[in-house]
Amino acid sequence: MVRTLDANQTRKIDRNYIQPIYLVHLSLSGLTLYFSDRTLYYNAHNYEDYLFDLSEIGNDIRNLGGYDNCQLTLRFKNDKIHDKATLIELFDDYPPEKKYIEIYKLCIDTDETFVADVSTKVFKGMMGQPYDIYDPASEFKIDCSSMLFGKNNSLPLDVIDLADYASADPDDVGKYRNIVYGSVDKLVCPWTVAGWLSTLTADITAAATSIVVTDSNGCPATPFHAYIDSEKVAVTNNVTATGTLTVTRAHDATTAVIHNKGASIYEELTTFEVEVAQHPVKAINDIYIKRGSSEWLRVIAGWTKNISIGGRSTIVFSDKIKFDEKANLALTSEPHTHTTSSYSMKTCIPTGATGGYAADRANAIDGNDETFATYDDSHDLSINFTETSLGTLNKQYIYIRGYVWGGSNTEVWVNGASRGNFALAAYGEQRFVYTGGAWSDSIVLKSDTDVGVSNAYEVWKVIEYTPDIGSQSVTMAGNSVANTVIGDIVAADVDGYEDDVGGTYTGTGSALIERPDHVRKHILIALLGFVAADIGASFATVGATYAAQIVGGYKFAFNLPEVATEAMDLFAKIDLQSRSNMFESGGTFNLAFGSVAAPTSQMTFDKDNVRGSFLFGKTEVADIRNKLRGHYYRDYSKSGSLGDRYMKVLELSNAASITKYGNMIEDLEFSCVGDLALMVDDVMDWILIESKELKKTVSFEAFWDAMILEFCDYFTVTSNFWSGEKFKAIRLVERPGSQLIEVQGLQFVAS
Amino acid sequence: MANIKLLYRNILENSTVNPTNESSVFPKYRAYDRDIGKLFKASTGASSNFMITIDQGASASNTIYPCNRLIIPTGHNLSTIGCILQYSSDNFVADINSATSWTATAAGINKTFGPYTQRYWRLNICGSTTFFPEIPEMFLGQDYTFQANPAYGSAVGEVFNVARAETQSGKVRLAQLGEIRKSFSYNFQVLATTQKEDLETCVAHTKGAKPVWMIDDAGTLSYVEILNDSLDFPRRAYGYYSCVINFREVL
Repeated sequence: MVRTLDANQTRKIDRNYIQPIYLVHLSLSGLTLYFSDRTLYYNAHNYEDYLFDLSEIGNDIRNLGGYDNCQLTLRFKNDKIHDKATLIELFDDYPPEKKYIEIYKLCIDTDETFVADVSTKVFKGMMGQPYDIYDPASEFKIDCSSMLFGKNNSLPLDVIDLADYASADPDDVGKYRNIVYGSVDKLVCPWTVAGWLSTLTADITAAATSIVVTDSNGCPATPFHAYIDSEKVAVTNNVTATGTLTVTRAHDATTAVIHNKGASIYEELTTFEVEVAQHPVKAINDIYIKRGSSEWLRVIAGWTKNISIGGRSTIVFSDKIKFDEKANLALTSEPHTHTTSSYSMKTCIPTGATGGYAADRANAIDGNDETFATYDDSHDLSINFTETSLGTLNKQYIYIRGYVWGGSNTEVWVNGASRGNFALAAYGEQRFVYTGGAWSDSIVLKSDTDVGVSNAYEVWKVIEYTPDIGSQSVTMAGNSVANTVIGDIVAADVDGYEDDVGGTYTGTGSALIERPDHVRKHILIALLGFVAADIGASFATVGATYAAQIVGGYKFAFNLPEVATEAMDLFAKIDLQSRSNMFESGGTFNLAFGSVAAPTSQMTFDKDNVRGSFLFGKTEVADIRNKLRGHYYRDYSKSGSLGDRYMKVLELSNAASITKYGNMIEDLEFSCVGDLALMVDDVMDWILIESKELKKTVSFEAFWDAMILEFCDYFTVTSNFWSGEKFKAIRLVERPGSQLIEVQGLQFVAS
Repeated sequence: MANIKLLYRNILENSTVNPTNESSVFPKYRAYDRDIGKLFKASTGASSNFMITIDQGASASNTIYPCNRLIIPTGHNLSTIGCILQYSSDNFVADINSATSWTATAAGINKTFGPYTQRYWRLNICGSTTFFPEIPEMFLGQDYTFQANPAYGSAVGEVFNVARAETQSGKVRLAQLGEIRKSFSYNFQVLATTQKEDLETCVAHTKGAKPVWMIDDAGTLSYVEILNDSLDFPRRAYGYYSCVINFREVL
């Protein structure tokens, strides 16, 4: 958007002559000086002649993110002022360094008087130190910087230190405190109250009173209480050189037990605290814990969330967050079958006898060959077995050791049928073979004639079988003794800065500050100390584009110290990651969105309004990019390469450009963007369009009518070749001494 | 046609100057710092008559210079205000005399009187308790009149402060960076020894660094600097010299 001038001033810059006056306001501490290169009473101020001249006023921007300082030097007359013999002495009492300077341009006609202020603010910045101070007192110079450059090192970054957080985790000392914008997932929160923590260097018994820890430096003064696993001990002495602690065991109804090497020992505190951010936040959502490189575990109880306490936000735990570290020995194998081609033999000892004669039937199974059971044709003797199957039964070998009454036969029945007979006339052993049957088959001896009783001294059988292991389960029961270990990394899903109830930054009271223009505005005002008047209306215009550019709109989610530690670097990254340019123009911060739609040309330059020649060029081929990888969604618990630090990646390329120039690859780090692929894709689309081809450049000197141009405005050049091209203004430098404006443009290329 | 005059000595510079009050930001020295651009302002709480009192004789060694002209250039706020320039021998206890009085307009003030050789002078500004005077410069002294005007052919002109540039097509663009300043190149072909000595006294006072007031032969008042690197007096005859003095207006 072009700069809007008062009608009075517009009329004057449209003429071929001009009478400019530059009015300078120096805002010192407790004193405002109004200077010019002449004496002038204007707009209720006496502007006094303390300026020889101004150097050029202007700046450059970089197309794909970047923020350059301005160029402006003031040459002061070192005259008497106030009660001081020289201006430089007044500056001893009212130092100009880091103080604001505003410059207004007023175009006048001779003897013209003004009833209202019609001047145009052309610059606001910060003064540096005086230099080139001549003696005898005549003059000195002061360079001025752009507003943001002046605050480049003013981001309110703070670190966890022991002076402020005496019980901080030593691992977190020196880390930046969080500054959070948008909805950040699993933001790592440093321990601000952690107490002393160490581990055992060796197993200890339940009776041990001298223990050695890995490090007892930082240990509280003895005596103090500590926990080892779940046992509370009193530490009564500490030898830091060896890490040896003297303890009394089993305090407060805890039990003295053995503890393993590596078990944590930690100082007893009433509360433990992590800091979510160094400022109040809108919400603290889920909380997670992990140890080392393990996976995050969600904490479901034991915390108090403080979204605003003492100007910051914290999570307070009632105890250390502990894990039981133990091996679970329960092991169950899946059922499986083993087979074999070899037979096995099982001697089966009878478990009972029936029939025969009750008085002696047991003698057949008592294992004593001296005694016998008797049977005859009316008294069958049954020898019984209760065998458990060990496999597939093949054969049963029946063994009878006995005597058959003369003239008779004994039939041997197995499984309901006779399997043979025998007629031992004297004491002897008989074997039968029966293929098949069952493991528990009984052996029944039947006498065929009633001539007398036969005797059975011992009966048994041997089974030939194929072993069948069948389905087997192996169970190892019983867990190990647990070691208590301490979770050392806490993270939380956090909604960062919240707008005030008046909606100063977002227009909506108490809204989450996440839209890129709102984030910029908050950083500028709340963190860097600028005022609302320093921010131009273009913020709102571009903000509306952010909201509509993708479904749900552009949203940032980041922890500021992880992105940048200097203001200009921060805004350069914010610009690139939101396809925008923030710049200073007319003393305010302004914003332009990187549109790929055909722009409106605000001015046409030709031979009638340009001094000298157009100087054309092209962007550098080394700056071509045609294959982009965008890494986004930060994992705040990890460091290392982009692939480690970011959980997601998006790739875009342009085939035509690759064909033309070969692969020109760049990895882009979207450190301000959370899990929002749509936004990353949209921004990368634009970067690819802007960088896939060479672009024409032009530079020239224009006259004062070009002062309406602002950065990122488009203008048209009418020339002998490349005529009619539209260019984006990326350098605008006004030279007060000649009223010429140096213009540099970058060609617009349609998508 | 009157002869050219120079007013180069301002008695305020070597006197004790006491205004009724003064602003700390716009203190009294600004009324006699030979810089028209820097205002002296009264502070709030003035009485109805605001006085600027000048005492030439604070020290016994001080010279009491005669005065015949008061100049207060444009930029003051005394318009419609009655003013009296007074002198006294007893610091205005019993001896109070009016050198001149007038009701001011927005124009510059250029008053002649006397001359009077008096130790005490004061500018009595008859305003109200809500009126706070602002004076860019108060020049009080005796002007020096050349015995003869410069020879014909002396150049009088104006110096422009314009940056000129042309467009590629040749159209002229002019940036007026400052006001036009008058320039004077006066050739005094015959100067008597006394006048030469007077001019040397003038130069000894200004040392080529202090602007002075010049009233040209048409009676026009200009605040000028002497551009000469040195003031040379070629001898024309016994007891007679010539001199070329170049003046340029100071804004």
